[in-house]
Amino acid sequence: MRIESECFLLPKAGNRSDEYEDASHSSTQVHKETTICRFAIADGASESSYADLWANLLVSGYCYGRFGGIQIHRAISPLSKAWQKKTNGKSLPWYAQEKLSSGAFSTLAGITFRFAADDESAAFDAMAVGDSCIFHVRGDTMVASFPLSTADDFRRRPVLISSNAANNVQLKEFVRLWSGTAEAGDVFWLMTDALACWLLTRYEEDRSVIRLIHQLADEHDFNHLVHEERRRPHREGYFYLRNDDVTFIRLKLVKGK
Amino acid sequence: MYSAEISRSNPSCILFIIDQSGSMSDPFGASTKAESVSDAINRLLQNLVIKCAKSEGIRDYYHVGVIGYGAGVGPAFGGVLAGKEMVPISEIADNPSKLDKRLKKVPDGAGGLVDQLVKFPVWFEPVANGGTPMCEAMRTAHTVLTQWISEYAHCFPPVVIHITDGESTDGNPALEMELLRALSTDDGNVLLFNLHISDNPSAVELRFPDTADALPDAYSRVLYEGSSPLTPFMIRVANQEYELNLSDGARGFVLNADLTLVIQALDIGTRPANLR
Repeated sequence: MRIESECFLLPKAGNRSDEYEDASHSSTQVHKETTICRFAIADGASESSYADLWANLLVSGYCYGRFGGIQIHRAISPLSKAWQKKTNGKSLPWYAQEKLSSGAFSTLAGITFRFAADDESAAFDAMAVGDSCIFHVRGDTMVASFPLSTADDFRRRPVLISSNAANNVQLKEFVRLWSGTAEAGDVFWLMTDALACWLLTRYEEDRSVIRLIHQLADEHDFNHLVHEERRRPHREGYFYLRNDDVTFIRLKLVKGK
Repeated sequence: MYSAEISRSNPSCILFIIDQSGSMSDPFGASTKAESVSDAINRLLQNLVIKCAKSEGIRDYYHVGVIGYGAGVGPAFGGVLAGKEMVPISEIADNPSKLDKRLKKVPDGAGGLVDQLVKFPVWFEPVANGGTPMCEAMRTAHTVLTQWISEYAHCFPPVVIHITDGESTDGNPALEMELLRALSTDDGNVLLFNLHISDNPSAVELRFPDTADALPDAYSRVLYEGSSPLTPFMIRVANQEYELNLSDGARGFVLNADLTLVIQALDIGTRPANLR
C-alpha cells in the first residue's frame, strides 16, 4: 500500500498570492514495518493578523505528530509560543498591537494513515477543529464527510484554534475525532471551507460532481474549475463557490509499494 | 441583494449621522447622552479599524463618514480629518485625535477575566449645542451618499447609523429618511438604522422591534418607520450570536438601549455577510 497525494491551492480572487492564508502540509515516517502518512490543511481566519503563520504552524505541528494522543491544549502550547516569538518585538501602531494581542485564529483538519507495505487496507484517524473538511470517497460515492456533512452546516461561524491560549478555554469541546479503515482504491479529499461547502452543495444536487473532481488532471484543471465555479450563479442569489482562499489535498490509496 | 463582496476593490460605506443638539447634554445613565454617543462611536470605529487590520497594515474595506448636526450641519471629524465627508478606514486608523489609556477586561485563559491596560483611540469628543435640524442632516447625508454611490455602484450599499434623542426642530424627517433609503447600489438600498435615546418616562428599552406598538411617542414612531428592515443575514447574526430572538420584520431601530446594546446594534449593522 502507498498513498499518492497532490495539493492544489488558489488565493481568493482579487488578493495577491502572498495574501493567501490557508496552509497545507504532509509527512511520511516509516517505523519498522509500519508507514505513517499524515496530511493536514488549515484555514487562517482573515479577520486576524499573522493568520497564515498560525495556520502553517498548526499543519506542520500536526504532520510532526504533535497532536497524537495528547490533549489539544498541550499540543498547541509550543505552537503558540513559536507564533508569539515570531510576531513579538515589533514596533507597531495601536491597531496592530491590539490585533496581535487577540492572537491569530485558524481551523485545522488532519488525517493520519498507518499501514504496512503489503497491506491492502489502512487504519486512519482524523481530527478537526472548525470547518475545514475531509471527505472519504469510494468510486463515485461519498462514504463519509468529516466534520461537517451538509452545506447548511457552513452557515454557522466555527470555533477556531487561537494562538492566544486565553481564547481556547472551551476548545476541547469542539475538537472532532474520526477513525476507520480505508481500502486500496479509496480516495480522501481535504478541503478548506469554501471548497468543501461547494462540494457538498453540488453533491446534494448531483452526484456527478465526484467524477468531475476525479477527472482533474493538474493545477490548470483545478484553477479553471475554481474560476468557473466562483462565477456560477446559484438560484438563491450567491455563487456556488464563495470567493475565498481554497486548498485541496487529493489522496489516493494505491495497492503495491 | 445585500450579497456583494466587501473587499478593497469593492469597499462599502458607513455613514454616521449624530445629533449634537443642546438636548444631548441631558443625563443618560451615568453620563450624558452626548458622552454615551461619542463613546459608542469611538468604540465602533476602533472595532472597525481592528477588523480591517492585517499584518501588513489596514485594508480599506470601508469608507466612513460622520455628519454632525446641532448648531450646524456638516462633517464632524476633528483634527487632520476635519472637513472630510468620507475617508477610507486606513486614514481613520492613522489619525485618532488622541490615544487614551483604559483598562479592558480580557480572558485570563482559565475562564475568568483580568484587567489589561490598552490604548483607546478617540476621534470624537462629546458635543451638545444648538437645535436639532434632522431634516437638513438627512439631506446632507443624501448628497454625500449620492456621490459615493456614483463611484461605487456595484458595491454593498451604504449603511447609515443615525443616533438622536429624536426631537427634530426643522420639521418631520419622514420624507428625507425615505429618500435616503431609496438610494441604492446594484446590490440593494441604503440601510438606515435609527438609534433613539428618549427622555419620555414611558420609553422602555427596545431593540429591533417589528411593530410600533410599544413606542412611547410620535418621535419614536417617526424614527421606527424611517428605519430599514434588517437583512436576513443581520437577523441571523443577531439571533445566533446575540440571542436576540428577532422575527423577520425586525427593523433597524433601537430605543434607549444601554451602551453595550448600542454597540451590538452597530456591529450587526456593519458586519455584512461576506467581509473576507
